Amino acid sequence: MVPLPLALPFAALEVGQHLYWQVGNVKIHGQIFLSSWVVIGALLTFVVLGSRKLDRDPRGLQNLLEYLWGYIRDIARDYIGEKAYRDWLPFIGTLFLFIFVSNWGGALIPWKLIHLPSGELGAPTADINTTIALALLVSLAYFYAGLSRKGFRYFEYYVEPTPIMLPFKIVEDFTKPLSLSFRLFGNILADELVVAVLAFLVPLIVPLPVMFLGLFTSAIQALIFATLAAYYIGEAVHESHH
Amino acid sequence: MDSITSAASVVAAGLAVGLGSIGPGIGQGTASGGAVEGIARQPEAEGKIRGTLLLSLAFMESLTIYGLVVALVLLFANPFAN
Amino acid sequence: MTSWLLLAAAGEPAGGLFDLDATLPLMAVQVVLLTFILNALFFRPVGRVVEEREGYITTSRAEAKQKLAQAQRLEADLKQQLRDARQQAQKLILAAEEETDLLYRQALAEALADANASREQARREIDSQRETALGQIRSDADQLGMLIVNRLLAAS
Repeated sequence: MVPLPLALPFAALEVGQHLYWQVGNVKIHGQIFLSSWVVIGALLTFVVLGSRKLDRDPRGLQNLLEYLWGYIRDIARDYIGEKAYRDWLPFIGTLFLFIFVSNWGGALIPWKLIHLPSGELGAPTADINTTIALALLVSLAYFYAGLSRKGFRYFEYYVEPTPIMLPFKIVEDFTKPLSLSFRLFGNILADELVVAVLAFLVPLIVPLPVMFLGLFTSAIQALIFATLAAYYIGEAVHESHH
Repeated sequence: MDSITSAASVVAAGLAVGLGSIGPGIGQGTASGGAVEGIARQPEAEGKIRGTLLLSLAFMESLTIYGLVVALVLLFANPFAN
Repeated sequence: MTSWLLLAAAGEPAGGLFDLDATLPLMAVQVVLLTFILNALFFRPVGRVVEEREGYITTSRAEAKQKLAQAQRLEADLKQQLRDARQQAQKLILAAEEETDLLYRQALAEALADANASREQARREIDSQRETALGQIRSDADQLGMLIVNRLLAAS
């Protein structure tokens, strides 16, 4: 809430500066939306190009799409279970693809070439708003999954092994979105900061290994987010007594 | 912000990251060691072990990230600045 | 988290790392929209194609298994037939061999009997001829003896 209180040596980094857009009487972060539209546009272009001519004998991009589909299906099926995974496959898949493309787009697209009046473009997932939005969606999703599948019996889950677990399970409902959002946000922001600091200190070659590490971490974080979302949903729809 | 607060914030940020990475570091080492032992004992279970290992490593990693987030708050969004 | 939400709603948007504002709900709406779009464009069609193919593969595999079973049954049938035929042939060969053997033995026995008979006959003939020849020689010798005796008697 305070703009850059410290005059750090890497003050050239713009951390926490945003391009504000006024929509009605609320303000939004313009740079996040710009980069997220680029990410979504890339994703949709890829999907439309790949699924234009679906065939029983896959050709070209269709192979990649089917590989992705199978990968996401495996995550959803492993963690949600055979019965309910079909309903949640699109949600898990969208989370995975959106986060993955955001993270890699933030690292691979040369955003610095585009100058904004304030703030800078980057991975949409390096903004706390995006990650909290995604994490709250996951919370809503698992509540909805549990309630729609089991009705009010869903709340038995809170006293499942013993009623002593009740406060812990309630606290868990708050820590789940908190840890989800902060893990993603912290990882992606840390990657961007480390690369930016190293590039500021030594502009050539030296940041490259860290950038590759960042790409790896980004992919893992997308996988972790999707896996945990699937795990929470699976926990909510799981029938403990038959 | 006065210099005492900023000095304390910088030191606290360093401590938050540094101390916060000790425990998860030890835990990740133990977990990876266990996973390697498991793979050595049962090489056919490698895929399953790797998936579980990645997931638990991410859980431990998030503890470090919390420390990092606290450090970032102290550095860039310090609530004691005014 | 909630307190930040409140803070962000109340406070001045002065920037900062943890600046929560209307970006959050709009981003959530955007992601939900993306979910529906991706479901229509990607997950449903690709899932249908993949599952159709899986079904196709399953049915083709079942068909192939059926065909394989049929082929194996036919093979077993043919093998059985082949074995039967081979046994029959073996039996025929055996019978033929026995028959030939029998015939050979018969022929051999006949030939032996023939040979014995002709040898017997030849011996008998020889014997009788020898008898006759001996008888003739004897009578010749008797005559000659008589003749000699007569000549001697006449000479003396």
